[in-house]
Amino acid sequence: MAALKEYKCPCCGGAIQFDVASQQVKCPYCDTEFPVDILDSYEEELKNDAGSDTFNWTESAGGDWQEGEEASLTSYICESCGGEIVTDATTAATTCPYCGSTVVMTGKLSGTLKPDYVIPFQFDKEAAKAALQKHYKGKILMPKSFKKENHIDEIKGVYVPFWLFDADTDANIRYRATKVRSWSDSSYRYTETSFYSVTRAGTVGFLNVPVDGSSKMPDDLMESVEPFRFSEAVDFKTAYLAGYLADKYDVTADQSIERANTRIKNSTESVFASTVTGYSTVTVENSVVNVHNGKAKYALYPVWLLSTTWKDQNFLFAMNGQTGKMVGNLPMDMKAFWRWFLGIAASVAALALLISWLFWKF
Amino acid sequence: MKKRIVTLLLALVFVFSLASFSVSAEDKTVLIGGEEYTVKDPDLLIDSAGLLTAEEQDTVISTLTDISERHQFTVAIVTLPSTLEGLSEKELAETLYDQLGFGYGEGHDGCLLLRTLEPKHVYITTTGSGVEIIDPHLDTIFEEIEDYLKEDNYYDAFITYAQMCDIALGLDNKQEKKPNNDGVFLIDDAGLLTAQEQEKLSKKLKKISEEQKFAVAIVTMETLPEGYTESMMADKLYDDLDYGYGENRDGCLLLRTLNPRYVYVSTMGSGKKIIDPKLESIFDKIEDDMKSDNYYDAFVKFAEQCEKKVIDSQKFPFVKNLLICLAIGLIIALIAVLVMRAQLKSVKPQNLAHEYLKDGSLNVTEARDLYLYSHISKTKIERESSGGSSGGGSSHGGGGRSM
Repeated sequence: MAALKEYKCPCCGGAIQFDVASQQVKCPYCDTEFPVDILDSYEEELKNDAGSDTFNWTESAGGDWQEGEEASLTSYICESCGGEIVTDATTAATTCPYCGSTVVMTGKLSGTLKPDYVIPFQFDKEAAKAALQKHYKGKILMPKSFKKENHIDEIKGVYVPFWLFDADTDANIRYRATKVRSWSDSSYRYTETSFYSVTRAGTVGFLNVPVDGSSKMPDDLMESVEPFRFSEAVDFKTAYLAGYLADKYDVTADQSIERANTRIKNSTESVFASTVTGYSTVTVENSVVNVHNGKAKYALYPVWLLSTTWKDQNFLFAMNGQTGKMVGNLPMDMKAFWRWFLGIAASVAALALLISWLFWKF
Repeated sequence: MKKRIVTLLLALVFVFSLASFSVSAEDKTVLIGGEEYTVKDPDLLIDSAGLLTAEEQDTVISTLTDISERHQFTVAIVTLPSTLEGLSEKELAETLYDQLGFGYGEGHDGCLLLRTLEPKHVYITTTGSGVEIIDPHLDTIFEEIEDYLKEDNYYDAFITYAQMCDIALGLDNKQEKKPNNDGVFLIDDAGLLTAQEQEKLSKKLKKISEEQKFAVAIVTMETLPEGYTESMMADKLYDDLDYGYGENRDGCLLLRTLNPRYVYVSTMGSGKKIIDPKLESIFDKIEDDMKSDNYYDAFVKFAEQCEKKVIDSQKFPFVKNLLICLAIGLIIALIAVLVMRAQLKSVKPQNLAHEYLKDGSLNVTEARDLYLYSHISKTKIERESSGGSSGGGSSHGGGGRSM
């Protein structure tokens, strides 16, 4: 007795069998018909899906402190919020960049890795203040009083610890793509949607994907001030810290890899998707991304943190100390929201009515 | 060239010397194409090819005679077994027309259909007013008789030709008063109105039509030509008389027939939208006058109703537009404020790492595109009639009621 080969319908996933009469394969669930060779090819494609993402990283991030270097730095753990601050030995008193409490530097830096690289600050405090004023501009729904009443509590230049990940990826990604074609005869408009199984395999490399290594620093805020230009990074020297605060990493490279993996995988899928052209829609159906030759580095990136309060609410803004990009969510004036909404609706409606009347008339 | 003229002259003398006598009185024997044929008097039909039975001949002749006398316009038919050497059908038909002394009045108004069997061909020649009256309808006439001719059903073909000429002439009789086709919106073929009434109504229809850019036409007929329904006739009249304004030939035409007593309104273009839904109420308003033969009042009411409906339809639909405009305004405003709100938010996670791609590191080693299957969906197209110029009742709207 011949063994029956069972296929999975590419359209609905149901089990389907060869129909001798039509020499075709017809899905009993969704009625789609397929030639046999297409199903065979599709089975082959599905076999390639086997395997799961692998992420191989060899870590060598951070170096050891040289003698005397450690001694020139002080660290302090803020008693009110728990944030850990590092600065050079000359800074005696400062305020915690996270909660604004005044802290006095007493401790000595110890037991941490020395950063491999540092990107020096390119903007000073005044530039950061000016950037914040500029950030307020053109924000129509921001409450008027926010700009007036809101005052900057603290501006701190902080070297934020970042883990930088380099990796090469091998990707094997299957996309479900569609082509849409339409035509019409005298009485009907036809729309034909053709489904394709598109496979792309290949390699792509990433350099210096940054992940914020400080748990105190909001991750989304740090990702929002990206990108930093790594080409301008220099080997770490304690001298760069003079006058600034340095945050000490409290999230290890191991713990940060997850975030880097996600971004690398997403980006890989998207980059390969951009090679799938000529289709109306392209969606990832299965993707296997192998990351190898992964390396991590430890670097300090410059960020200006501006914390403000308005109506007893804290607002934290961050400026990329290298590129000057300012980010930070602003409050919304609900009254202004509705005023604008109704105002625009009314004026557009009036204008549309006038135009339609003019068209009618002339 | 000379040879051709000589052949022509010889052929003319040969064929028509005898035929021309036949205009006078009784049956004559005419020699055409070397054979003898009997020609009846008055010979509006010369069936030299012997396509009709004697009975059929009589009927056709009486039909042709009736039409010709009524319209003072010759409608004649000649059949020949073959064309004469060196003569085109056109030349032959024209020569026949001249030599047989056809035509009324100074312009020798009339037309002649020539059917030859070798080759199988039909030619209609028109003379005098026929050029203006019949020529515009030639295509329609050929279309109508084509099928009969293919089936060698000559009797029906000839009768149809005669009837079509009759209709064209009937329409044209009224047009003579005003050569401008666009100016005539009343054709009282059944004579239901007095001359005064005709003039008043005609002016009114013209005024309404021109002011509203919407043809409002009225045609009365005693009976319908054989084979026509009220709707076919009304649609055909609308098309043939080229009524209507604009690309879609907006307008409507009321056809009043006495036998049977029926009123049909054919609509076209915007008329289908404006008049069709109101047709029953319009009929209700004119029914009493129509039934009591009070035609002038009925027609005036119809014209005024049409005018009112057209004007109503042109009034600015304020409430409807206001609602649409408000909807547009709300959607645009919503988009605008959402954009404004989005400006306030600049902190969001970056889920891609495109900035950190190694330059030139993308290397696609495998690329396979496998076609799986297709789905076809179809949706019915709702389309308005294009209002094509070439007849076909299907593009018309309308309705009727016997009253």
